[in-house]
Amino acid sequence: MMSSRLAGALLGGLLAIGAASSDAQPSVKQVLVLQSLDRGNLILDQFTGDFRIALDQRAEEPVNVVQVVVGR
Amino acid sequence: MTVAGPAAVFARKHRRELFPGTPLLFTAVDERYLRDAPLGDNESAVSVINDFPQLIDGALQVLPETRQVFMVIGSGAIGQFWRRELERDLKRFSDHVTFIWSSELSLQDILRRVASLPSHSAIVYFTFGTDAQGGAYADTQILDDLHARANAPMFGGHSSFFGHGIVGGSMMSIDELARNTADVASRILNGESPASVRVPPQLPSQPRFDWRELQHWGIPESQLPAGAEIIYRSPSVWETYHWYIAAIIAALILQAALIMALVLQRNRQRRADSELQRTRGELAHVTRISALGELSASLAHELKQPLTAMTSNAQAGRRFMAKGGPDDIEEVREILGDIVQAGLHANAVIDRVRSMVKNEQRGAVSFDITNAIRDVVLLLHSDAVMRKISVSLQAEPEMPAVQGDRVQLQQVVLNLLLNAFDAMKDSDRSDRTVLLDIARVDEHMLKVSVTDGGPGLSAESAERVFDAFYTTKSNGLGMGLSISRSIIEAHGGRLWAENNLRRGATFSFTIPIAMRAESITNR
Repeated sequence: MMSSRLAGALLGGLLAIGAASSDAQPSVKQVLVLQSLDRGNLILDQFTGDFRIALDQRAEEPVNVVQVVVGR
Repeated sequence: MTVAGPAAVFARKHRRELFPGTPLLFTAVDERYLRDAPLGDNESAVSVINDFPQLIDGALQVLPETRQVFMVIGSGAIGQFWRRELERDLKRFSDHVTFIWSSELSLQDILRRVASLPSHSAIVYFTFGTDAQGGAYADTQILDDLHARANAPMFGGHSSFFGHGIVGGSMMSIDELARNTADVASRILNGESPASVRVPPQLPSQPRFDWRELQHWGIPESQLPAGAEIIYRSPSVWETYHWYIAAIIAALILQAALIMALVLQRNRQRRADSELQRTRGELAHVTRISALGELSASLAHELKQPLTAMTSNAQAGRRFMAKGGPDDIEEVREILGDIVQAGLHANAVIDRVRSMVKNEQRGAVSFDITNAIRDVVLLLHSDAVMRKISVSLQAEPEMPAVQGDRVQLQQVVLNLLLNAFDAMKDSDRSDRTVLLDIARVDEHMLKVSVTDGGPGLSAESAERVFDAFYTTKSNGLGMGLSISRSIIEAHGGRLWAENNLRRGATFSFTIPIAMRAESITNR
């Protein structure tokens, strides 16, 4: 069973993706990032920053990335 | 996409209810997790192989004396998970290394412990998150505090910690992990099946070390593993300023070479000057001898006068002595006095000639120029008489002494007088006069002028009279005036010639006044 806090965060992420899908062009791709640690973790902060940049460079079209912390 | 193990576990657990048909990418998960739970058809992964024993091996290679390792790890679920994993992985070190875990300590206790670790200790930093009291802290804050307080070197397993007080070692490259993950994610986004996108697990990268920490802890580079890369090395003074240093060294070398060349040139110049002075002295001596040779007839006459007087007086004396009267004895005494005077006169003539004939190095001395010129006039007295020339010397009273070589300056005057005599050989007897004038120009210089009553200088002579080997005489060498000018210039003076308004020419030279009158020498 998911905790109510986690479920809320996850729902928020999914709603964000859904809103982006409906507001933006139909071709916008979505990535939901479920991360084990919150901001402030040096490894995660560097990873997500570098990942977003690298994905932007590789993707042919805009990619919408939403980060949600789970599993703490 | 999930990042790290707990998120992967969560996604697997709730996937069917949340996103059943969506491709799933696991990243930053340990390969061991995927061995226990293999990937499904709609799943892909960018896994890592965390080799923590290798991290400890690396630390022990750099610090082989290490006997205690303080493991900084958080107290949360991830920290507890990794502590269990690490305790199992690091068992092989238990016989020679003691591991102390921070997961039961508050942050304040951790900082106190790292400040007072026993010698031969090291610190290994894992991810932190929360401490035993539940306080959440960012890694950068923890690393900065640890680095400020720790009394032992600190190691870490991820490249993100590098540059935050970590000595270094073989670390998992987070930027490489991000790039690999972006590669796989973009392929899946572009329509590739996750099952077809399989990449090998990522291993720790080649060891890297922070030069600043190596310096801080006194770790020699010779202890680092082969191929280790050293980052943040402070450039040496040479590396930072090598262009400036090279330019300064080049300028110094150039300057030294220039100074050396100038010194060599100066030495050569000195030798040349010395040689020139010696040659000039010899030439002056030769011309002096030559001039005196021209005077041989008049000098003979000058000497003959006192000798004749001595002879006549001696004969008269003998006659008086033959008489033998008392008055005659008094006459003989007077005659003997005349003989002595004549002898002194002859001796003075010979002294004057000898002083000008001698060729010896004389330094510059202070002397009375009027007396020196008077001696030259006396030397030429007979020659002037024979040529029917009247020579007069005119000088201001209390003339200051001059500085120089007395004989050389006398030679100049002798040369000018002989030239004046020669110039008047065809002049009327009434015009055969030479005026020697000694006057003060200013507080530094005297001027000596020789004015004759000859025909004066022709236009050509006026222009070339001081040139070497230029002469208007049939038997002249043409060196006298050239040498005279070089003598005067060597004394710091000037020699020049000009025609008089009425007739004749005047040769003048200046000579410096001596600085101190007490050193006057009248030779």
